[in-house]
Amino acid sequence: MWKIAIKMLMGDRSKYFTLVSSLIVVSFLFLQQGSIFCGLILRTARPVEVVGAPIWVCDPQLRSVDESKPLLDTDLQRVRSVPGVKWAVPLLMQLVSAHLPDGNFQTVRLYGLDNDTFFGRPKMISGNGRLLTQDQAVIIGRAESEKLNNPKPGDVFEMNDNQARVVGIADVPRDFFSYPFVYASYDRALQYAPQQRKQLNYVLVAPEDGVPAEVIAQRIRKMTGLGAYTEQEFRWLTMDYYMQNTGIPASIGTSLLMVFLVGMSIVGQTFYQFALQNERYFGALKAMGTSSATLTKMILLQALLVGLVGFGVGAGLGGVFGLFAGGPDSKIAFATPWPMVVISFVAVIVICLLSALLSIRKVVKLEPAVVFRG
Amino acid sequence: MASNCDTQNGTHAACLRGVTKLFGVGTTEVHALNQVDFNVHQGELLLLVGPSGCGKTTLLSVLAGILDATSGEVDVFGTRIDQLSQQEKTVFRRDNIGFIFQQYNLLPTLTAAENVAIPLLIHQVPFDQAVAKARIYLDRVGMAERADFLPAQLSGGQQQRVAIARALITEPRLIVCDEPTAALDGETGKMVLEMFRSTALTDNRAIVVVTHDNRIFPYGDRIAEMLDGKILSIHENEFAPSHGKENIQ
Repeated sequence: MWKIAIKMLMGDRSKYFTLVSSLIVVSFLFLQQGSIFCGLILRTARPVEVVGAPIWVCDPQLRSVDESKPLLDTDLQRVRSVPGVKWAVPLLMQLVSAHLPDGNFQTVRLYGLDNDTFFGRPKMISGNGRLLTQDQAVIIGRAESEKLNNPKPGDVFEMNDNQARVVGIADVPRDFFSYPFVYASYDRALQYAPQQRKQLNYVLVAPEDGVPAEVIAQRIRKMTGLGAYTEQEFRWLTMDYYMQNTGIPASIGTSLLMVFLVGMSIVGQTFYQFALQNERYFGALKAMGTSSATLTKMILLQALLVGLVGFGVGAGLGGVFGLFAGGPDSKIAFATPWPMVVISFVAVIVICLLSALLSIRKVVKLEPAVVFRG
Repeated sequence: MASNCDTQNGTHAACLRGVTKLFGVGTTEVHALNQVDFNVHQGELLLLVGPSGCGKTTLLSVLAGILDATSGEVDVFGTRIDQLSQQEKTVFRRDNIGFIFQQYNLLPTLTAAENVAIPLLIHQVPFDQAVAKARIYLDRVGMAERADFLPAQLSGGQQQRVAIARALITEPRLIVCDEPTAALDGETGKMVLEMFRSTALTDNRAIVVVTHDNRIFPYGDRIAEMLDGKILSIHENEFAPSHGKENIQ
């Protein structure tokens, strides 16, 4: 009877088209909104991601990478003394106001990298990263560099009344706040950042070879009383903070709920119309000996089929949208991790199954004697 | 009216005893069937006639097991279908009863062959085998050339012939028809009834036809007249093509 179910569904082209096109729109919107949510949240952890340190040591009360709770300079030595630590370097990370040559001001995310290793310096696109050793030298991240008037190597601007000279452009994607990224040596960054009693924001650590980062992070916490996270843990700490303390989940969650409800009402109504329109045929099938269980399975198959086709096309369109509108340099934050695809798929299938329930109820309750009513 | 019932040994196809069907409750209560006693013989084409609202279709529905009687006994081929569960009735209908409807009820998105194959598919016969057998039955009703046509591409008479093939394909022992000629012109209606007699009627099968159409009365072996939920009379039709057959009682 499966073929009959499929032919019943696809033969009614207008209903089939309405169902599939509704589900395409629902799938597309679900995936698109969900991917924007994921993209936004992933961008909150971008300042961690671009550094690439295995372990981040910070103030134990810190809730996200964007909070500034500096450490004592002596904490760097304490961390270095923890067994299993291969190396530990300081990192300054602060939001600083840049004074541009055209007179405008622009907030930038300033990284002060270890003077000797420059650990955390991103891949260069133009210029020379080694020139960071020079006096006043800074590297600019590619994304959002237009906010600094697209500087080229040799261009200058000021931070905290100290001149900064661009020596290169690095490959840095956009972050959540869309601040331009500026890299300098640690000592130079101390001059660019407003003076505070404590300036060291993070200690970046690598474990000895073969020692898991989780073990060293736990050891650092235990021996120093500082906060210590693996890169993955620190990214999640930051993302959790933004999920709990911003309106992003509620805003996008509301959109997704609306998509779900509108989708269900359209698909449910169309399915119900389909059942009503086919009432006498379902009645005839029942009269001829088709069990309610078989009819239920036929309707579920129809629902799953339109769900699969609708999701396939909708997800494909979502992917195309992401391909053209998303990307690390795009202003539209767009990321589609596989759990998002699974969640969208499940949502679409749930819409189809819930909608099919209305039809199933109608058909199961249908008396086969309906076929003899003129 | 019909006191002796033998559905076990090949005399009767169905026997109804004291069958009552009520619709509505209280002041809206209607006796659609009122203490109906009624036999259907094997090998006969029985016409159920009477004015609109007299209970013909209700009686046919109860006989076919698609409507539950309020009270009374319904014995079809030795099975008390009034005592079966809904699930058992569904299986019983699948195995024993063929249906022909006034509006044909051919699924509009299936071809004639696929429509005819439906009862076999309900029996879980593989699709290709079922359709192949359907073509044979379509050939019997003169519709082989239109096996791949959709119902909308067929005339009313052709659709009813497809419906006959569908009703016959599982070789059911009882075929019930509701106003099979109501939507057909006189000639086509006669042709359909002739087809009933020539292809559907066998010694071990019975056909019960509900009709208003007096043009087809000559084709019935017996004619049962109904009024107000009761059988008024059942008489043999002396003009029937089979008049004089031994098994008609």
